[in-house]
Amino acid sequence: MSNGYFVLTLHAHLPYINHPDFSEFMEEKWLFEAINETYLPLLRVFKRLKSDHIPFKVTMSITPPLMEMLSNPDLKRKYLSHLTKLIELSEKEVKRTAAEHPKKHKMAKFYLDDFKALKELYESINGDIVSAFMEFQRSGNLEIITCNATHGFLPLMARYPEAVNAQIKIGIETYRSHTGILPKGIWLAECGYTPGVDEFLRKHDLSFFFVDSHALWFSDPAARYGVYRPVITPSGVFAFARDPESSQQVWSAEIGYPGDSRYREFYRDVGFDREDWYVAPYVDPSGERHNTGIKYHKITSKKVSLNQKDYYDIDEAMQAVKEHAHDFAMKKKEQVQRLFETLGGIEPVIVAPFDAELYGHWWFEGPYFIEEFFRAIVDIKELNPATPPEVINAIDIVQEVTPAASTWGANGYNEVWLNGKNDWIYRHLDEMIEKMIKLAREYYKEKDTLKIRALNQMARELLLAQSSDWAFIITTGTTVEYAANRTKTHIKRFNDLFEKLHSNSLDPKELETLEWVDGIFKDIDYRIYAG
Amino acid sequence: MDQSKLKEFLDSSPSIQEIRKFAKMLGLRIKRTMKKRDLLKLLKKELETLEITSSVTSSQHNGEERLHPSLPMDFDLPSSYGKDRLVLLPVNPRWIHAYWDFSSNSRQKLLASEATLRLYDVTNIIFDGNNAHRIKEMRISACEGNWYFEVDFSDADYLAEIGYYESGKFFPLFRSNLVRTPSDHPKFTEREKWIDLSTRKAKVIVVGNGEKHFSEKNIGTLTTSFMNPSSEEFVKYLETHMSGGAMHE
Repeated sequence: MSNGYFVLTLHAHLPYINHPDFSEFMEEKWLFEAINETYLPLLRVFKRLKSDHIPFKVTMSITPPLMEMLSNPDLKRKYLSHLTKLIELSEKEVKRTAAEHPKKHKMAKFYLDDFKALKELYESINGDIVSAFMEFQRSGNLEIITCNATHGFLPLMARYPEAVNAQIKIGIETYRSHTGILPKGIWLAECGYTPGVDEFLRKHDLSFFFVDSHALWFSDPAARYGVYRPVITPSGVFAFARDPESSQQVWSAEIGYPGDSRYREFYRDVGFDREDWYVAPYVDPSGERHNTGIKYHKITSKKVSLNQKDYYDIDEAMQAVKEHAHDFAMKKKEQVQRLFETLGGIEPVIVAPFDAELYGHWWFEGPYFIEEFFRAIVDIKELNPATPPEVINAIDIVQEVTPAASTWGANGYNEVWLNGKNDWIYRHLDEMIEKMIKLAREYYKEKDTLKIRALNQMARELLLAQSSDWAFIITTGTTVEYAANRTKTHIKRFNDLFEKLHSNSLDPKELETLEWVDGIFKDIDYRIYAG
Repeated sequence: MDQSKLKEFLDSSPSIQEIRKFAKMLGLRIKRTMKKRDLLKLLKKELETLEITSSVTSSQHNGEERLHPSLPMDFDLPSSYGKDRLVLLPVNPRWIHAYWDFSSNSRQKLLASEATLRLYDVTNIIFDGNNAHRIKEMRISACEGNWYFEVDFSDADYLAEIGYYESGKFFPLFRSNLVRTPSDHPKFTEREKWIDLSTRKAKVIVVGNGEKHFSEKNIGTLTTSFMNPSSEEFVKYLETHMSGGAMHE
């Protein structure tokens, strides 16, 4: 019999990056890499599991900016050309590696076949990744949820109910416009929760959301079963809390699976290893090198330097995947049995949320790990994979608590998004929010189409400036200049539109350009900020 | 930028610093790692584009802007919005960030006196201006600015005021929002509220005295950071520590 539930949750997100006026743009490659390494491989895994009748259950947030990018015709075209060039490069690699090393040659052939298969898959779904995932929602295997509009960091905008409401409502509307249905749950950007946010979720009929572990450890009052049972907030929304044990087993730098010596080394890539002239057509036109996705080395050992890594072997790595998936399955079985006993016969709910892109993009073998894990638990009757709505349906009684303010950032609070490096952002965002609220009320009954378009564009610029990604990258990233400039540029565009709206000097041509380059949420209505 | 200026520049055998500056001015995407020849290549390519486009159309706009309106730029943002504003934002259980800005009126007033920022602990009280549990105070200049306050308590309410001293007395000019520091400790109760999902009715369960709460044995710990969030070591620490669900590149 079942001793407990396992809720695997993947948060798929990338900030909105769209430069339609460039034939190639470095940061757009984040999307192409994620499609190649995470989204399509996950689809492949789901397809295989489905056709083998493996009862898998995954909760997946596909954020509004990601849905918008995945369906953007320019980006889709650029992705295909990226993939086509990658196939061309792999063909060259197959020839070249024949004389280099049998292991490299084996992998080159693997990549060529794999990229071709990805292209076939992408074409077979007409480039519509969101719909392809939705098919698994219809079959009951996936629960696709939304996220707040531009992944804005809610704990630092909580003073403005209108701004929080807009983030939530636009998140729901975007989900609906891409899937035709309403989401049942939401992933709050960065797992960022502060008491009161749940009221907006309730208002928009969302049934559940996720929080980090300490949201329930330090909730008011403490949750009787800690993170192992969902709770309900005073406004009536279910909160599922992260199990620290599962995250630790998968991701810990010391004991986590992805650090196994047999897995693929992320930092060795032909984009860096080959000659300038050779890689030039496959890297940024500026000559700046970057990852291509063709990698020949394995982690080998954390102690050896990058240039001492051994050659990677996919079969050896797949062996490691099987071992790790089996080990994780056993650990989860043991965990639910242990908790079932300590909770006095109440079934624990183990919630394991991860950034989706870490499966595949960062941990190349990650999607295969998910596949093998679900295959491994078929015979473990004690462990019941489930989605949050299924868990909610299965419980009769739930404790009401107010979760504590928390995030899943380093240290668990707001410091990743608010520190000496990125604190300059907030005085501008707050000013924009206040202006937007005021304008939405002032121009609520506006009839002039040009002004309406300008107001809608201002809402877009505000939302784009709010993406938590920029503050995050400024703290931790390697593309700090891009992130800082994106923030400044959206603020500047907003301020310029504000001036022009007031001085009655809106320029339709300029506005059209902004609607083109910052064209997220085409049906946005600025009046959402009127409250 | 017209093509002749760019051509002239390229012919003047500029130094790498000059090229970088010029490329930046054109709004071109340059990387710190780019060598001189990469930069020159980039500028020459730009020249070709300008030649092509200028032969097609003449425009009053700057070529780069017209060609690449989406390019994010390092714009100067307003340093002040000319309004009185004092905002508190929670950083973590022990730190609060404050930022402020002034209207020209307040700025004038404060220039002539001892501008002061005060942080009040107003947990569980209705603040009347004089009844705070604790006050932290600092002198500020009459310029927009920001500060990180280390506070004594998590799960506590704070409020700030900006004002000035005159003859030893504090005169507040304006007040901030109220902010609550996040909790970093469990709160146990003997009376739990449970909801029956079939009836949506609430009932209170009294937890027996001898009964050890499951959560009392199963609560993890978090490292509360006492480092100043504006310090360099702090940001360095964040760079190397993974987030809850993830590890980042």
